[in-house]
Amino acid sequence: MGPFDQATFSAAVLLTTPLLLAAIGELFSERAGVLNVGLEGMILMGAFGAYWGQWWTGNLWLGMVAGAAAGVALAAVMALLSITAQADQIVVGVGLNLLALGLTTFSFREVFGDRGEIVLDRMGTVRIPLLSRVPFVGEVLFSQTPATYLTWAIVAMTWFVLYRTTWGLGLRAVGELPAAADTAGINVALRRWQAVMVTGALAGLAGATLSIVRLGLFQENMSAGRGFLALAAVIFGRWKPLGIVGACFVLGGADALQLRLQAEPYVPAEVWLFIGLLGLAGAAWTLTRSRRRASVTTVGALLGLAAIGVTLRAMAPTWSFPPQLWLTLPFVVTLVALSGLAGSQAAPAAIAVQYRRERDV
Amino acid sequence: MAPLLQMTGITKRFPGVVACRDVSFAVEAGEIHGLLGENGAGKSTLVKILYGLVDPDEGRIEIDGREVRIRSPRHALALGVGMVHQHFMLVPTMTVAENVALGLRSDRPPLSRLRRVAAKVAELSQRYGFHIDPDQQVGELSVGLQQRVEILKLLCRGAELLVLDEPTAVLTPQEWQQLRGTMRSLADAGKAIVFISHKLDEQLSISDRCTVLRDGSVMGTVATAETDKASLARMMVGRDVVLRTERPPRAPGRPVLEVHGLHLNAAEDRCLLADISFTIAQGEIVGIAGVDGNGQRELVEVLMGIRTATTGTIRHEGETVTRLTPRRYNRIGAVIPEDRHRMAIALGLSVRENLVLKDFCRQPFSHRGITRPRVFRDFCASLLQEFDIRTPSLDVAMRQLSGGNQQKVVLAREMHRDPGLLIAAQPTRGLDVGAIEFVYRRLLEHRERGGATLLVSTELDEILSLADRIAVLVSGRFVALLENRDIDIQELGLLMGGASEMVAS
Ligand SMILES: Nc1ncnc2c1ncn2[C@@H]1O[C@H](COP(=O)(O)OP(=O)(O)OP(=O)(O)O)[C@@H](O)[C@H]1O
Ligand SMILES: [Mg+2]
Repeated sequence: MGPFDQATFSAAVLLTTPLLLAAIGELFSERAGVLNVGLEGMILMGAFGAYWGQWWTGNLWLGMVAGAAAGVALAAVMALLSITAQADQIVVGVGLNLLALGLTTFSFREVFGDRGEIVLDRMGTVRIPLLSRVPFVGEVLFSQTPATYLTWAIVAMTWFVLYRTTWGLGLRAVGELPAAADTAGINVALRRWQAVMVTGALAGLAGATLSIVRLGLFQENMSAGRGFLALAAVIFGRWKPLGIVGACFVLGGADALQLRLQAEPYVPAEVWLFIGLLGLAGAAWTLTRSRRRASVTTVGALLGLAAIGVTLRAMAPTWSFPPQLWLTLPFVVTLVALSGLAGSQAAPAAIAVQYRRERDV
Repeated sequence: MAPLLQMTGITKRFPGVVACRDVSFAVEAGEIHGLLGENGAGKSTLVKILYGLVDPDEGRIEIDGREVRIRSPRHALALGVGMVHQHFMLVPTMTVAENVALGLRSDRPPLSRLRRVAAKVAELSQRYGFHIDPDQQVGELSVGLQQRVEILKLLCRGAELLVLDEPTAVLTPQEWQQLRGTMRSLADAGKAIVFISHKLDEQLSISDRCTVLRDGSVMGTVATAETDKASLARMMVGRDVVLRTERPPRAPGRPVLEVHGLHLNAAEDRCLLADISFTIAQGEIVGIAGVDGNGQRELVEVLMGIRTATTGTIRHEGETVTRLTPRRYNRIGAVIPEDRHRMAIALGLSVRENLVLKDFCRQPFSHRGITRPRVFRDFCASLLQEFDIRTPSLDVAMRQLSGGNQQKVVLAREMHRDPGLLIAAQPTRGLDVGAIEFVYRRLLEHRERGGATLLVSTELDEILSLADRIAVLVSGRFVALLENRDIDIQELGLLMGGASEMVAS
């Protein structure tokens, strides 16, 4: 099994949690037509807010609430500027990321600067009776922290809210054709505000899982690009809850794998085999999906990848990689996935488009 | 008893224009009330006021005798007023049921209970003979069916007064017949309908009364049974309108455009155009008749260089130009595309910029890459005059013009320079009778000067009165190519329906 053992899978599930929370949160905004690039900043605010909250109150759950509140606070600025004042969503989002970085760094130094590192109590794992006793799966999926279980519950609720409630129906319409929603009597600006607030809360919770749930610590810029990975996961998951779950697990898995590989002296042979299998699976998928139009070069390249993987597995060379390079693995996976989906039509039609009644009706 | 709707003294000013001037207007329950008027007369503005989309400056609105101030579409719906827009307000990626459920009060909030809505849609669809499947995606429906979904939306909200703003502009004759039936049965069920249409025949055949607007003022309300086409047109325009056109015989000259064996395949090998061959000579108008969606749009797009044909050749004055680009086409001809919002105008730019969109980079409009605003101004001013475009100024955004005036901007830009070749797709869509008369005259003048014209239209009257030869397009193929001598509208209708008869021309 090499690096593909139960420990890596458990870590993958653990690392997926903040990503999934943030991506599901972002889904609300984007389905309502708001491209919230400030997600990274909201996660960071959540991470700090939660740490501060737990330190102040001494209660981890109150810390989680404080994290969500911090995310909502930043989201309110996003909504105010981009929905009410109709400023460009992307510009505002980028600005908020910088604001959040500055604000958290400054506050952290102000409050904790001369106190030294304070490690707070982390959230313990809770083994779910019976289910956690299933071999492998039980350890990987059902021996996690309550934060992870909460995340799964939120994902399920998100699906229900989006597809089974009037609020969700209106939200999706607002993201597709706001003029249609407006003429049907839905307050477009209000619905977008609500969606961005939900995003802020979930992104804040995602930050909390980074700081207090996992480490009991806050570090400057500790979101470290996860907000952008989550933005990619939304696209990669084609703006659907289940797709996003898949995308987040792939990205979380890549993260867990790279952490594991950093510790290896050289690239384990299993990795080559994995690449080979990936190539084969990719070729098969391309062929079954569109047999007639499958490009020869795509299939050829994938089969070539498979051949290289299998050959290297057989040779088992002792190549080593600098650990810093492994760090880029989730981002490389993201790039490859996104370029594979170029030109996909699944995006909400009104994403990043302002709505003005006088102009659009 | 008070009428269902009474609007009194409604005035609405926009910067530079008065869209409605002291308009008074009443609608009774069970009545179909026609609204007529030139492009820019203020019809859309008046009904937008009624639907809470535009705030009037003055005037009062009474519904069932009670004075109301309609603040938003939601409020209008609560008062029983529903509106089908010129551009449909449907989310194409959602199903019929989802679109209907949008904004509808659910019987068990917060659940949307789509199954319940679907059942309601099915029931109403049954009652009025709509043939709508609630689970189909709206984007896959034809225009006529989408319109029914819009009407269903209003019915599900219990609308008592339905406003239809130019609902027939995009309908085929068959679809219009069906809509007519629908409107009748709704009126018989006691609903009131306000019906905006430029087509006098339609107004005469369905409306009980007609109110005519000109320049924002009411010219009068007449009972349809006591009037006729000519007098309605005179009320609208303020002069007599020539409703029939004379097409003097003319011997065609050298061929200008020759199309041979054109095929166009979409992805998945679906065939959009098959084996299209025709020639247009100097001084000739070739009409393409057919029900909307049978390849007209694709044919025009290939000819104007937006799509490349899979096989086949296109020749212009003897020179092969099969691989056209829009830029190259621009040098040999002009085009009035069917979908003006997507392909002909930029809604956010000013009227001036839209008028020079195709000329600004050549002399005398610009010199060495620097534009010359003064030349633009004089040029645009003369076009406004010549084409009777009603706009407060050249600097207003295109989006603020009425639908018909937007179309006139496109016509002016494309027709002013006497192109040798003109492709005109639905050139009179959304125009009032006066403007239609003007366009017909221009097209015939173009023919007289020896220009070649391809006229794509779903209006059979238009084709029959203008075209020298008529091709009938069905499912991307020509089923007939005939001299326009003694064909009548029935025959053409049959051919469009698919009865095939290949006649050499
Ligand atoms: N939002 C707006 N801002 C400025 N002017 C406007 C606006 N909307 C309409 N107008 C102007 O008001 C006048 C009436 O427009 P309206 O759309 O009501 O005409 P209409 O009768 O519907 O014409 P058509 O038959 O061409 O659709 C036009 O001169 C138009 O330019
Ligand atoms: Mg109008």
